[in-house]
Amino acid sequence: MRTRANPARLAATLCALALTGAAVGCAPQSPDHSSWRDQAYESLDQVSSSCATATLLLEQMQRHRIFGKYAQIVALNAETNAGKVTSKFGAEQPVPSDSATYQHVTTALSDAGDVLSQVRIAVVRRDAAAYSQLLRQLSRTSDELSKVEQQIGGRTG
Amino acid sequence: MKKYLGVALGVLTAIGGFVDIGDLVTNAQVGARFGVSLAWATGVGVIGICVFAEMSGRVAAVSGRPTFDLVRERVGPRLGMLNLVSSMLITLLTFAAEIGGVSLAIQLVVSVHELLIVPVVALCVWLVLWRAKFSIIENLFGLLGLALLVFAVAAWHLGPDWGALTHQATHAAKPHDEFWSTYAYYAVALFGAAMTPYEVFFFSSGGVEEGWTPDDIGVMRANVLIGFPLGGMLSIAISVTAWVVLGPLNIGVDSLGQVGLPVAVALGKIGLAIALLGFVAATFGAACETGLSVGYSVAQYFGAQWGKYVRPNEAVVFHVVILLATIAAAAVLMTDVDPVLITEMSVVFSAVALPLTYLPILVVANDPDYMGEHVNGRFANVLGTVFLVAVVAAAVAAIPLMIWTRMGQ
Repeated sequence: MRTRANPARLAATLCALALTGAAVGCAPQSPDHSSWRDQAYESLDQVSSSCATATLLLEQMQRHRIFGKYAQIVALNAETNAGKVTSKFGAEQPVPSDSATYQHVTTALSDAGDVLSQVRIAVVRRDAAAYSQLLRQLSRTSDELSKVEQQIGGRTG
Repeated sequence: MKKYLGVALGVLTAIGGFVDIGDLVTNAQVGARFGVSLAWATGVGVIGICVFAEMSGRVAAVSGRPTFDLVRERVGPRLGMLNLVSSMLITLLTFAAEIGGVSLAIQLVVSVHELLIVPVVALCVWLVLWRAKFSIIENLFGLLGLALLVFAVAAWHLGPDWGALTHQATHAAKPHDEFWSTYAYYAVALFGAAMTPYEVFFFSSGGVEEGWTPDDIGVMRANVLIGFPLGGMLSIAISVTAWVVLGPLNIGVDSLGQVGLPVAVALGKIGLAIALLGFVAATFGAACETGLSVGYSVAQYFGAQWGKYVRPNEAVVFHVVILLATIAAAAVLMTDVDPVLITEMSVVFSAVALPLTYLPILVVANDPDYMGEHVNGRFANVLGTVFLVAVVAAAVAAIPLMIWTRMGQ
């Protein structure tokens, strides 16, 4: 004989599931060492790509090969992309043994984001005089990102 | 003379109309990371779309009836509904991606936030679909899309090592810092981008709109067999420019602005302006084609009046579906979802829906009751079956690869 589902019990179960889901969803993600390292590498790689895009952009602007408005959007996208990557990675919970690396990575990502913001500001203002200085900053930032990437090591796949 | 002009126009529009936002982004992404080592996937996809576009074009020319009308009649309402739902959802997703693509392209010109551009683009697309003649939609944007040939000129101007590129293309050599899983994911994405279902709906329904008869089969084949492969070459040219300029700098492509940078490097502002024209034309044209395809598929399935050759008040279901699809696409984009992400997803999910789109076409093209003397021959059936196996393999692999590689990261 089939029994009818108790509506109160069903509602309580659904509430419990929803609360559990919300609790899990609100908690910071806690990947293990290996997957955290992969994410760190990937984040550094993506922000390096944004820096390289900004570098190429400024070089082409110095040669007057790109429209100002096009350049604004490319610079803005590079900055926004780096910001998203940085905030996403920052929300990952490292294992205790990775705390020092976490500092290195987040600092490198954050510094890169600052430089990309300066690039966007200069591009929007058409401040051509600042491009050379920004290119040097981008070069240093890219070197720093590469250094941290090497410290972490490659992806494990 | 008029016939030759018709062939030339058809071929040119096929070239210009082949590339859409999915091709632009995916080919640039792949080019920057893998060079032309995945050109074979585009090549296979182009042959596949030629096989099935020719088949569906022949069905339209011989029967004078569109694909979905015959599919429902031949395979029954249940399987027909499955075919309709899967194909329409993918086409709707692609429609949203194309409207997003137009917005991103215009954003590069006017530097205004894309959320302000999306409603205007959606309104323009809807107005064009409602008011413009079919020939204008087909020819104008196809011809303007030829501006993307600037990528081929840029590739030539950049002077890549052609020997190395040929070696890469012929040996399918994966760069050492990439994984085979990612390589396979992008192979499926390129295949899906080349064989997007809407291309077949639009092509065959367009044939009915233009009143093709069996006498037009030759012209139709010329459009398919010359236009699509040349369009595929255009896709590979985008990959080459990305490989030469973005690859050495380790730039991963995640925005439309990056796709145009190699053209600026090679040809400066004039080249970039032409590329921008190509972006807008190609994405706008594809938005029109996908929007029409959504309307075609629903109206044809339910046996309602459809098409641009009848007045809007005589094809109410068709135009209401287009209006609702446009509103839905704009609404999705207004949630601030990244249009490039929608594009990537539409390309992968296209691969998933391919068997449900192409199997019924193969079935109908083999039915002598519809096709008479123009029924599929042995060669067409061998090719059709081989590609059906390929699309099933791609469909099965697409989602696991997407999850495994986290969308190719």
